[in-house]
Amino acid sequence: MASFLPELEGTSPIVTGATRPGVWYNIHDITNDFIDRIVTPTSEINDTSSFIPNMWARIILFKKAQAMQENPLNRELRGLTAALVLRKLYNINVEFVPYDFANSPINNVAKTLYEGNIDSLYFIKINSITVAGFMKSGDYTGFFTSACYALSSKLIPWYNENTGIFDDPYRAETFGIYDSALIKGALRSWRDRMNIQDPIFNNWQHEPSIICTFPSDRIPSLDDQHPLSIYTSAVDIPVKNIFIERGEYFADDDYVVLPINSKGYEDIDTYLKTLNGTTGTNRPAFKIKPGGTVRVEIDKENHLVFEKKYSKMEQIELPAVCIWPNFKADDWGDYYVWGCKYEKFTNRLENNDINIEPMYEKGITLGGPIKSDYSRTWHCNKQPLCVKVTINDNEVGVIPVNVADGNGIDVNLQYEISIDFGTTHTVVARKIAGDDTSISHLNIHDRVIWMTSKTHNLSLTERVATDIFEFMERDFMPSRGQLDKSDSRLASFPTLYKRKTNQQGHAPILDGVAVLAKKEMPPYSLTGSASITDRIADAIEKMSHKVFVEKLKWGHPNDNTENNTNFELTAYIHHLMKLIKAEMRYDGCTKFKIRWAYPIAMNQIRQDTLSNIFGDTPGDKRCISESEAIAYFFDASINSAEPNLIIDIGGGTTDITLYSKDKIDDGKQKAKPGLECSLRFAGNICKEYLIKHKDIITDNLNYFSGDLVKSKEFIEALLVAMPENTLSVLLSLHSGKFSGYVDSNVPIPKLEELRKLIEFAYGAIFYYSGLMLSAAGINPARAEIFCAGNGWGHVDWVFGSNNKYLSNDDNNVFKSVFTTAYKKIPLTINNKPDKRKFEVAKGLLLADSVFNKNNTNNQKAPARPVAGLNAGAGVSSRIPLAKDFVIGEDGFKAKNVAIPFVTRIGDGNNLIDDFMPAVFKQYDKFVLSLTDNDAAINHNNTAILSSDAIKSHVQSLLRKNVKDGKLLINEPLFITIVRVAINKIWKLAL
Amino acid sequence: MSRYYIITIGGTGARCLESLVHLSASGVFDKNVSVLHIDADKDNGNWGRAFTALNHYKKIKHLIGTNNTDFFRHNIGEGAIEERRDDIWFYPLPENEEGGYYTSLNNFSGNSELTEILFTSGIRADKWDIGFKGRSSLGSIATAQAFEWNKRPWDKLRSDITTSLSNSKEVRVFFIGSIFGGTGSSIFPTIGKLFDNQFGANSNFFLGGSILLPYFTYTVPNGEQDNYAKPADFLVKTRQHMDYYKSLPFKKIYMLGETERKGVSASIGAKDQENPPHHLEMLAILAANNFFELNRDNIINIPPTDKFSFLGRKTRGKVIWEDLPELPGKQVNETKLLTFTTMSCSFIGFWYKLLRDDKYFKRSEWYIKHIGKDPDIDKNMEVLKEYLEDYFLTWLLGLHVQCGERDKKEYKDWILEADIYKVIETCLFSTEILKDFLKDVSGAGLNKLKWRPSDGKGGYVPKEEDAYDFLWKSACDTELLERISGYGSLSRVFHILCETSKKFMDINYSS
Repeated sequence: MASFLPELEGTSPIVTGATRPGVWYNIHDITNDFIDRIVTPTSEINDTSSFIPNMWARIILFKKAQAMQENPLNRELRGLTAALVLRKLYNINVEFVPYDFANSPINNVAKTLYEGNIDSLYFIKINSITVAGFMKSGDYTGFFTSACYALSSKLIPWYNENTGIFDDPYRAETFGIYDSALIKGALRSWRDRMNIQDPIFNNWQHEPSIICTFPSDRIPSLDDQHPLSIYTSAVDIPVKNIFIERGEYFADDDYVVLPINSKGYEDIDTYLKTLNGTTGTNRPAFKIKPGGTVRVEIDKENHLVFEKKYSKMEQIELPAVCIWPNFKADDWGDYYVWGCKYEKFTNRLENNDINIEPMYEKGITLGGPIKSDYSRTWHCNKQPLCVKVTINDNEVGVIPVNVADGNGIDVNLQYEISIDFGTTHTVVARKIAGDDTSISHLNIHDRVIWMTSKTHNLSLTERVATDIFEFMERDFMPSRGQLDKSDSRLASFPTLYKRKTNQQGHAPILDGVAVLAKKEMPPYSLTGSASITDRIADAIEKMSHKVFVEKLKWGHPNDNTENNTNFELTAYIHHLMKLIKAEMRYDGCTKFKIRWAYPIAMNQIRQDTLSNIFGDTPGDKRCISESEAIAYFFDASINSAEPNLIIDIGGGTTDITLYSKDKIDDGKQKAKPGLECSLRFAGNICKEYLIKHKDIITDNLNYFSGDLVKSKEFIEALLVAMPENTLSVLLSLHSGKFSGYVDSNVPIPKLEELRKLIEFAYGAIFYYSGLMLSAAGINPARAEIFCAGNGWGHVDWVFGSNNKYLSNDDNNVFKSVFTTAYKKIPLTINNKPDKRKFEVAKGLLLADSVFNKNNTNNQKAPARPVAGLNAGAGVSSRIPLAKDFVIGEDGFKAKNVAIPFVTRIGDGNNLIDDFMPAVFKQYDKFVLSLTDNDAAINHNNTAILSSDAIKSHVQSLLRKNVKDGKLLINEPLFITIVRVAINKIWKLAL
Repeated sequence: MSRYYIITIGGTGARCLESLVHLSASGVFDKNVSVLHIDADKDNGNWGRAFTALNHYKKIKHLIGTNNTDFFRHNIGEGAIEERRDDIWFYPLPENEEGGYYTSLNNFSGNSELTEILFTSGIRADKWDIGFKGRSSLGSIATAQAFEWNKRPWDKLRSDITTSLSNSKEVRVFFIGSIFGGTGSSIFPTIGKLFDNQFGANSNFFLGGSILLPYFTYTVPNGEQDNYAKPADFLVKTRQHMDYYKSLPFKKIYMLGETERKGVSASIGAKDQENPPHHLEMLAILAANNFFELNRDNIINIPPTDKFSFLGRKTRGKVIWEDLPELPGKQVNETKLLTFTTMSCSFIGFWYKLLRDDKYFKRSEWYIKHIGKDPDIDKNMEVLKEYLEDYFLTWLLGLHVQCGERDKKEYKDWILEADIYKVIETCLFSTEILKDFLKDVSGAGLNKLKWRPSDGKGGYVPKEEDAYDFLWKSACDTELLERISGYGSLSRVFHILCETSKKFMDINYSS
C-alpha cells in the first residue's frame, strides 16, 4: 500500500498486512525493510562523514564500512594499508603518535559523544602529516583515514592529488603500469603471507575482472563454431520431457541453451537410435511442433544440447564443466570434475542461480566439492555418470559424461621417471626400465575433457582465476583437496612467443612438449575491459611458479620451520605425480621408479623435505644432486674417466662443480663431487639489464601484435615478470630482426654494452671458478663447461650466435679469464647439448648404467636413502674441502669458513692483477668506491679513481676479510664485487 | 495526569510547532502541552511565524476563557498570556568567554589535532550560526557543548520533569525534526541521548519522536553551493542518519516522508527562510498525539523491533481525510477542522464586519445583549481576525496549495490573487466559490469540505442572501451565556460563532 515515506526500492510491502490509511504501522526490520531500500541518487558524495550526527562520524562510517566490501572508505583504507605495507619500498616515514585526551572542551565533547570508552587513539603520520588514525575502543578498533591530508603522489603514487585521498593501489591508474603491477604483486603477496581474512582486502587477490577475453554476453549462435552444435537434428518429443522451461528468466528473442533432464536424455537417445543411417550432417533437421519448438543439437559424441527461441527470455548459459582424466579404467581411481560459471567471473558461482553437481553410481566415494569463489571441484574414485545442472535449486537437466576406455595394463612395462626441478621449470623424463635408448621426455598431455562448450574457451587466465590448485589448462591440479590450505598457488607462464607461433615452449612442467603450448595469452589480448595494469599484474602473478620454485630453493631458511614450504612443495609434487601417473596409466604402465635431482645449493632441510615427500610415492626411489646427475650424463655421453669441472649457468643460479671418479672401499666406482659451489648470480643479470634497456628488444616485442607492446610500461612489466628461460626463447625467436643488429656490424651501443656486461659477469664466474680450483689445489684433467642453463641462452642471442654454442671470440674471453685465475690448464668449452635441461633428467636415468659400466663387479649404483642425505653415503663421500665451498643456503648463515686460498693473500703475488684481468679494463670508467662495511657505491668519484685505484680498493677489501692469516668468506666476496660493478654500470648507463 | 512536552527542532520543527498551534486551536490536538524550540538560526522566519502564531493562540485563549467548544481549549506552553521567546527557545551553539558564541568548529576547538583528523578544513571553517547547512556532525558538537541542564531553558524543564516524576506522574517528551538537513538531524539524537541520560532510568519517563524524511527540495542558486545544504544529498543523508538512529534510546519514532518532494525557494536561513506549510508537519503533530495517547503498558512493552513506525495512506501523491490518523475510537479530525474553518470564514467574511462597522447593528438588541458597551471588542476581534486570517487560514490554504516553487512574495501574491477577503465574504454562501476555494488545488486532498446538496427534506438550499439569514437566525437562537467573570464580550461572541458554525456544519456537512 502507499505510505508517507520516500520512494523505496522494490515492490514488496514494507510491512505485510499494512493496508489501512491513517494507521501507524511498525517496521520490524528497519534496515532491510526501509533503510536499505531508500532510493538514493547515484552521484558520489565526497564528505559523507559530516552527515552523521556525531562528532565521531568518521569512525562510525569506517566501522560500518567494515561490513561492506565495496565501500569508498574501504578503498581509501586499502590505500592507507598499502602505504604502511610498502613503506620500506617507497621510503615512507611512518609514525604512530598517541593522542592525549587532555581536559579541554573539544576533548570533553569528544568523550561524551563517543559510544563507549576509548582505550587509545593514535595518529598515523606520514612524513609528519597526519593521514590517519588508529582507534582502539570497545565500539571500534581499527584504522580510519584523516578527513584531509595533503601528500605528494611522487612520494606515494597511489595518493590521488586530485581527490586528496589514497586510492586503492590495486585500482589506481595514477601511476605507471610498471609500478602498479609490482605493487599489486606485492600486495597480493602481503595479503597471502599475512593470511589477511578481512573481506575488505578481498580485492587484493587474483582479480576476476581481469577476465577480459570471455565471449560476448550472448552465447554464440549455434551456427557458429559451437562444439555442441555441429549437427542438427530434431526429436518429436514433448518439450516438457526434455527440460524444464524457465520462461520467466528470458527476454524477447534470446536464445537459450539448456541441458536436458535425465528422462529427456533417455528419450532422445532412444529416438535417435531409430534414425536409421542418418549420421553427422546428413541427419535430418526438423522442428518440434508449435508450443514447444526445440532444436536438438547433437555433437559427434552424441552430446545433446537444445536451442529454443522463447518469446520472453533472457539468456542462461551452461557452466563450463570438464572432467580429468580422459580415460576410464577399473584400476584408475582418480577422477576430478570441475565446473565453473563462465559467464562472468564477477558473478561468483555461489551467488548465481546456476549450480552443478556430478552424479555417480551408488556406492562411489565422492569427495568435495572443493569450493573456490568461482568454481567447484569434485573428486571421485570412479568417473561420474553425468553432471546435474540446477537453476534456483530446480533441476533443469544433465550434461552427459562420455569418457573412452583407457588402454589395458601391460604387466611387463615399467618406467623409470626422472624429475629435475629447476628455478624456471621442471623437466620430466622417462625410460623403459633397462633400456637407455628409450629415454625421452615424458609428455604430459591434455587429458581434460570438456563436457560443455569449449567455444567459450576458458583460456588460461580465466581458468587460473578459478584457482590454480584446481585447474590449469593441461595440468589438473588436484592437490588442494588433500591439503586444505589456500595460501599458495602454482601457476605457469607459457613463453610468450607461443601466442604467436604456437611453438613449443617452457612451462613449469617441461615435458618435452610444451605445456600450455596451444593457448593464447589472454592478459595480453586487447579485447575485454580489464585495464592494462590489471592484465600485466595478472601476468606477473602467472610467474608464481618461478616465485614458488625460488621460494623452494632460496626462500629464507626460517620458512622451513613452518609448514609453508612443505605444503607448497608437497602440493606441487602431488600434482606432478598425478599427471605423471595418468600418463603412465594411459600407456598401460603402472610400475615405475622415481629419480629426482635437487640443486646443490638446496640446504639439507629442503633436501630432506623433498625426500620425505617423495617418500610417500610408491616404487623404487633415488635422489642425487643436479650436478651429480650431470656428471653421470657426461660420463655416459663423453665416456670420460677424468674429473670434470661443470659450470652450469642457469636462470637464477650458477653451479660450479668438480666431479671425479673415485674408488670407494668396496671397490666400486662412482662419480663423486670434488668441489661444489652455487652462486645466485646467473642469467638473471641479463634480464635485469634488459629491463633497464628495453629498447634493445623492442623489435622483438613487436612480434606480438597489439597496442600493448607500444607501451614502455608494459614491456618493462613484462620483462620483470618473465622467467629467464622465457626471455631466452623470446630473444632468440625473432632472430632475423635481432640478429640484424649483430650482423650489420653496427650494433646499437646498448647491445654492445650488454655484451660487455655479459663478458664481465660471466667472465667473473669463470674467473671465480678458476680461483676456486687454484685455491683448492685440485687439478682436474679437464675443465669442462656444461653449457646448460638459461644463462647460456642469453649469451646465444646477445652475441648473435644463436647456434647453441659460443663463438670462438666469446669462448676466448671466458677461457682467458679462467686461465688467468687458474693457470694450470686451459679451459675447454664444448658444444652445448640441444636440450640442456633435459640432460639432467637424462643423467638421472643413466646413473645406474654409468655406475655399472664403471663398476667392475657390474653392480648397480647404491640407491641413496630417501631421507638419509644428512649422514648418508652422498655426504660422506664428498671431499671435505668441497663441502666448505658450497655457498648455498647454508652458506648465507654467515658461517666462517677457512680455506687454504688464504695463503695467496700474503705471498707477494699480484693478486689484484689476477682479480682484474685486462679484459675488464674497459670498465675503468665505472668507478667503484666500496665502503668498508658493504658494497655501497659512490657515484661521484669518477674523475679520481682509476683502474689501479679500483684494484687497490678491492685488494684492501679482501685483506680486511683476513683473520689469523685466513680469508673469511660469508659469501663469495668476489661475486659481490662483480654485482656492485654491474650495478654501477647500469646506473651510469641509464 | 501525564505531562507532555513537544520539542521542535530547526526550520521544519518550527513549522510543526505552527501546525501544533492550529491543530490545538481547531481542537484536533487536544492536550495541554509544553513546547520548546531549538534552532541555531536565531531569526529563522519559520520560527518567527510559529512563535507569533503561538502567542496569538495564547492571547485568544486568554480572551475567550474556558469554553465548551473544542476550540482554543488546551494550553500550549505555560500559563503566561504571552510567551517570552527565550523561555521556549534554545540556541544550540556554545558560548565563548566573551559572552558571545563560537561561530564555527575552528572557532570553538582552535587547532585541535582531533578535529583536524575528523573534519576537513572546509567543514571546520563552516559558519554554523545560521544553521549547520547539512553538517550534522558539526551540530552534534555544538549542541553537546552548548547544552547544560543548569541553564535556561533546560533548568526549568528539568525542574518540571523532575517534579512530575517525583509525583509519580508520567512524562512523555516528543522530539520533532527533519533528518535530511543539518540542524534537526544533529540535535534530535544528541539531545535525545542527553534526556535519556538524565531521566531514562525513571519508569515514568518516555521518549518519542517524529522524524521528517525528505519532503521538499529547492534549487541552489548558482555560485552559492557552499552556502546551502544540497538537496541532492538529502536521501543519502537520510540513509546515513537512519542507520545511526537505529540505536537511539527512543521508545517510538514516527517516520514521515514523501515520494514527491515539493519545491520551495532556496534560503540560507534567517528571516528569509519562511517555507509554506506541508501536510507532513501536521502529521508530525498527529504522531505526537498518538504517542501521548499510547497506553502506558503498551509503551513500556514496545520491543526494539517496533520502534519505528510509518503511516499508511490511501493513494500515493494524494492526501485525503482518511489518511489523517485518528485517535482510537475518535473520528473527529475532519469535523473539528471543517467546523473551525467554517467558523473562521464566517467570522472574517460576515461577523467581523458586521460587529465592527455596522452602526445599525450596534443598536440591535442582539448587540446590546451580547456585547453592550465593551470598549475592547474591536481590539480583541482584531486579534482573533489576525490569527484566523494571517495564520490559520493561510496555513490551511498553504496545505492545499503546497505552492511549489513560489517564493515568499509569490506565495503572498497568490493568496491575494485568490482574494481571500472576497472569497471569504462570498464563499461561505456560494457553492461554487466555496468549492473553488477549498478544492484540491494541488491535487492533495482535503476536498471533502463541500456544500451539502439539498435533499429537499429540511436541508438548507444555499443561496447567498439566505446564508446571512441563516447565520443571523442561528445566532439569535443561540442561548445567551452567562457573562464569565474576567472575560470580555469576545468570549460570548466566540461561543455564538462556534454554535452557529456547528449548526451550519450539522446541516451542510454532516455525512
